[in-house]
Amino acid sequence: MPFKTKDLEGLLEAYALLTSALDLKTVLTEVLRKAGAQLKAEASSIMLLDEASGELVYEVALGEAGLRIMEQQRLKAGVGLAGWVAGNLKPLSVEDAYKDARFFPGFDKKTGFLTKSVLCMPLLAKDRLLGVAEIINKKDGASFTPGDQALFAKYCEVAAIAIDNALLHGKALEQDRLQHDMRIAEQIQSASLPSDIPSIRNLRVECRSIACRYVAGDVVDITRLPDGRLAVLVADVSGKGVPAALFGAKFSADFEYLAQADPEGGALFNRLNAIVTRRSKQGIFITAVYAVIDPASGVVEYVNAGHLPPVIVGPLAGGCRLAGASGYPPLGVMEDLNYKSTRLTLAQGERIVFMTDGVWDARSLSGARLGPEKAQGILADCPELAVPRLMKAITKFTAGVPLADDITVVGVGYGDYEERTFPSQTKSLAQARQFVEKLALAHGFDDRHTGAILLALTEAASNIIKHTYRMNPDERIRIGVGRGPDQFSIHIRDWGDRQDPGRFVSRDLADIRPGGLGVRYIREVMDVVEFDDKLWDGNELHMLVRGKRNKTNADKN
Amino acid sequence: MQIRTEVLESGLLGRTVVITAEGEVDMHESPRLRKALADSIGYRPAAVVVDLAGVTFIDSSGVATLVEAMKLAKAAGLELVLSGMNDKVRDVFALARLDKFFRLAATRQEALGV
Repeated sequence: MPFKTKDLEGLLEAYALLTSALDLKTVLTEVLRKAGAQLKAEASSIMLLDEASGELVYEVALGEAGLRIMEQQRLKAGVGLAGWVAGNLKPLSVEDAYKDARFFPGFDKKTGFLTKSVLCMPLLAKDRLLGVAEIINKKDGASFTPGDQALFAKYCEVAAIAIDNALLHGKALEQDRLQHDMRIAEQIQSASLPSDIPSIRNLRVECRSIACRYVAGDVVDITRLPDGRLAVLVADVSGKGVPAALFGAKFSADFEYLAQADPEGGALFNRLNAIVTRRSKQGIFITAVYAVIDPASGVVEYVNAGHLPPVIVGPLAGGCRLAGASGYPPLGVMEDLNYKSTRLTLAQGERIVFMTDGVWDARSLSGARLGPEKAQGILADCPELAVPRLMKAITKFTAGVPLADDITVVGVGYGDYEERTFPSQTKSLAQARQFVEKLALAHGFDDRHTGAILLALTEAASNIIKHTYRMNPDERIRIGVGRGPDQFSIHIRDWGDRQDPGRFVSRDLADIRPGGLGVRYIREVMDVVEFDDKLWDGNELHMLVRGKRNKTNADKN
Repeated sequence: MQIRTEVLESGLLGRTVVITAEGEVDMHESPRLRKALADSIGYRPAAVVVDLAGVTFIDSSGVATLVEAMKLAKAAGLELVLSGMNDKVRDVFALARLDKFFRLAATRQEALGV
């Protein structure tokens, strides 16, 4: 249908409104005003579909009766000419409304308006109904022509685009808001994971956690008690995602508060159980294991509420036993339970590992489950590196599969272990060497072998200062030294951005250039070098020397 | 680390700069060694002797500093000799198979040819 220039001008103006920053109601009012003026209509209105009720809701009504029509607010599904248009998704032109059975005279009665001719159009976005627009009574008393209908249809297209854009924009905003909230929740939860694990002589504490969705229902707490012992809580809230995380956050706060009052496991779990049982909705419960570890004796007092039994590995490779389950049900299931602690003693070089069942339930791309045997095998293979190796194995095993459950692992090694934290400054290198030199000599390494170990240490720490922290002197580096019966280990921890483990692949000798030697030295000197990028807040390099054997280049040649 | 630089006008090698380093050479200290070496080479002697007898520790930054100096010396047509390394320091060069790259002398006297 060809349009007159005057008609096109009005339409162009209406289209221009789409790119304006005006709100939807203003745009629709303008579009309707232009259409009404051009088509000489006495009244006009736009109704939007309320998807929930199927009703049409007045958004804009113009003309004498406009205000009173707006007061009516809603039109039930299928009622009136607009209801018919909404139901059939077809335009409708009626010469005399009162001769049409579909017409609903209710509004005329209430407003005193007399409807005669009506042009009514569905507002569509790709066949999806957004609303209905209508113009009523041609001012000269004539009927609306097919030309009017074609022109009105064009205005309705503009209105539909405006509505669709507004809906999309609203959805995008809502989506953005949700994602933003989730990111904040994730940050809050990350911040609540123990990052500053207390330094306790003779205990090497490691904690790793991976959330299956943005936020996890796993709870970890690692605290140094006033008497010098270490208290570890690993708990798993049933269910996943935000509800589990919220319940876990509350539980974590309760735990912290109650543990301060009385850290003894049995009493603590009795009180926590009472609280969780009372608060539990929809059958939510918590499996938890809590242990208090004495760095002087290796004695562990633990209580297990329906959680996986802790695994004890070491002191030598292959050594593995379970901390027998005490057989208590999870927290929040039954009131008035009497939880009691069990006691065991770690041997020097043993490591107790607490984990959530996400570890056993981790699945590979082919659907295989990691399972307890495999998990324990990995842990026992190298007790000193049990935790990082397990995390690495899980990541490899589940490659390409979204995690079905949160995974949390806490390891506490008992034995000769010391750690120091240094500022990320080059002058710290000499202090770090002093710290490690004393321990290496005490371990029985000769001066030359000790020198080689200090070289590896210096290279690793220099790498962190230079590459991870980019010479920022305000960060920190923690150096932990473990001395086992058959090995000497150095663990260098930073809190910088995650680094590429590929950096620790040894270079070919032909590729050696100034500044590129460090990694080569580390690999030459240490028997085991493993880069650990499974921490949520930094990196750690683990370096092991087996035995007390002198290992220099002279030996190799 | 202590660094001392001397100029010997009549060595067997000709006019020779002797840099004596003592202590530990790591990323914190190597920039000073680097400057001493560059200054010495810029002085255009016939030879530079780096006396490492008093060095108790050296890392890759120290080694790299010496590799760089060796390249500069070669380009300038002068001799660079490292002297007096103890076993631990020599190990660091050997681990990188760089002991063959440098001219090494057991002592400063040997390096100076006296």
